[in-house]
This record gives sequence, C-alpha cells and structure tokens, in this order.
Amino acid sequence: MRLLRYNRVFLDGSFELNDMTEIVFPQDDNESLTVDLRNPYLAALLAWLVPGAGHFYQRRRAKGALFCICVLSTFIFGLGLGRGRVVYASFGAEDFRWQYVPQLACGIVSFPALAQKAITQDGGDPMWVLCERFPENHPNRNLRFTKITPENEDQKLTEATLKDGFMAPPAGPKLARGDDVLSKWHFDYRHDFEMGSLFTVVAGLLNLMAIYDAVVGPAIISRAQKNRLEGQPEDS
Amino acid sequence: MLIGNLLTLWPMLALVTPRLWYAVPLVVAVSLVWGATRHERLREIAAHSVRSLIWVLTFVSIVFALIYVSGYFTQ
Repeated sequence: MRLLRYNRVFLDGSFELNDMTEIVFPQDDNESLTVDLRNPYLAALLAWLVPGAGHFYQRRRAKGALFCICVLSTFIFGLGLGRGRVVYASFGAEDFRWQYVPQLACGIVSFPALAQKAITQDGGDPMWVLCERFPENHPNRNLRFTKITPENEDQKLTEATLKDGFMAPPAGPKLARGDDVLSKWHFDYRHDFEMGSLFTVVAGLLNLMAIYDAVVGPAIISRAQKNRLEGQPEDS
Repeated sequence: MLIGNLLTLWPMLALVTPRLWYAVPLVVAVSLVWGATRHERLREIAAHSVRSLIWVLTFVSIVFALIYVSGYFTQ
C-alpha cells in the first residue's frame, strides 16, 4: 500500500501531492536529501516491534542502529535497576500499573509481561522465578511477604510461597495498608525501583518518536524555513 | 559562557548528590533520539544532540540548584 504524501519542503514554501513515499529535503549546501520511507505503515509496525527495525527496513541503517541502541539500552538499564520487576502488566483497581502503557511502546521486549500477567492472574506461579517470599498468612507477622533467604529458610513452614517473577506482577494480595509484595519491592530496591520505572517509561516514549520518524521522516527545517519562522529574510 | 560555567557545576552537583548520575545516560539517550528525529545525516544528528544535551543538563542543573538552595530555607 502506498501512502499519499507530499514533498513538504520546497524552497518557495509550496507543496504538491504525490503518490509516493519519498521525501526530498533541500539542504543548505544546495544538495537535496532524499528519504525513501518505502511502506510507512509496515515500517511503523516493525519500529514498534523491534526498536530500529523500521529504519533498517527503510534502509536507513545508521539511524536504525542509533534508535535500537538508545531505546534498548535505556530499557534494559532500567529493567536491571528494577531487578526485572519494574515492567509488569497489572490493571486492577488496587494496583493500576499505568507505566506499562508507555513501556509497551518498546515492543517485543515488553511482551513477556503480558505472558506473565496471563499466567499469574488465576493465582498461578510465574515463569522465570527470581525469588520466593513468605506467604501473607505466615504466623510470624514480621516475615510476611519477606524474601526467603538461606538465613531465614528454616522459617519456611509450607511450600506454598509467593514468587517474584521476571516481568511478573507482584504476587499475593494487594493490601490497602500497603504491607504487601509491591511495598516490599519499593522497600528492598528503594530509589532504584523508581529510576528503573522511569528509564523503561522513557525508553518507550523514545521509541514512539522513532516510530513517528519511520512514518513521516525527519522533521528537517531548512535555513530558509528557519529564517521565515524567525521573521527574517529567507536568504539571510 | 554561562552554559560553560553551569556545565562545570555538574560534576560538583553530582558529587553532592551521587544519584544525579542517573540523569546522564537518560539525557544522552534522549538527546540522541531527539537529534535523530530532526536530521538524517549522522554529523548533523551529533551536532544537534550535543546542543540538546547542553540545554537539558543546564536546565536540570538550574532546577536542581534552586531546589537544593531552597532546602536551606525550609530547615
């Protein structure tokens, strides 16, 4: 499918409609720059699924590599800061994880959270278990929701433990007073949990910009346009 | 000149609050992606990114300094 587009940058400020996916940008050095967007819709889909893939499809390899490195490294760094727990899908009234919406913009790397949500929503154990915690009905109140370590493992009275999973929602009940697994995550990882959430959210927002670039091309402003916007003569 | 002076403040601010270093990789990534959506050639992307980086770090430094100084008046 071809997208109806226009050559949006002309030195005289005019534009015309063309059935084409190439955009021609006049440059200040009198050389024109042509960007072939190929199929922009397919490029957008690829750019969403794998950051940078849409640009590789459009043969804009340098920008594809740049987007891929920037978005994925930001996402992975954030996920590492949050010890694999900051990207999870939960949309209940007691734990509405709005951060997952922008995180989902990173594409396929955020999909495991959806799989974990589906697996754990009926009380099942998550895949890729990171650690176990004492259940909410443990007789020792101080141990409830606490991580099971070699030091306190002798207090484990039952095999029915709560499990933290990679990209899985916090296990166990969500309590209004805040003493639950999610509050333990905040307590255990402190500001790293918040920074991890921030990094992964920003990575998703950055990928939205990359998707936009794959669909409509770069927002290049020529010197003539810049002068016009600033109210100066175009040839100054 | 002002921007240059503010940028020299950055390591000092980061020494005061080590968590400020978290902002550096974030600002670098944002600047690069922002520059890449404005240009097609790598050299122009790099130049735009450096300008964005300086702007953001300067802005963040000013806000941080204001908040940090205002802390002395609330104690």
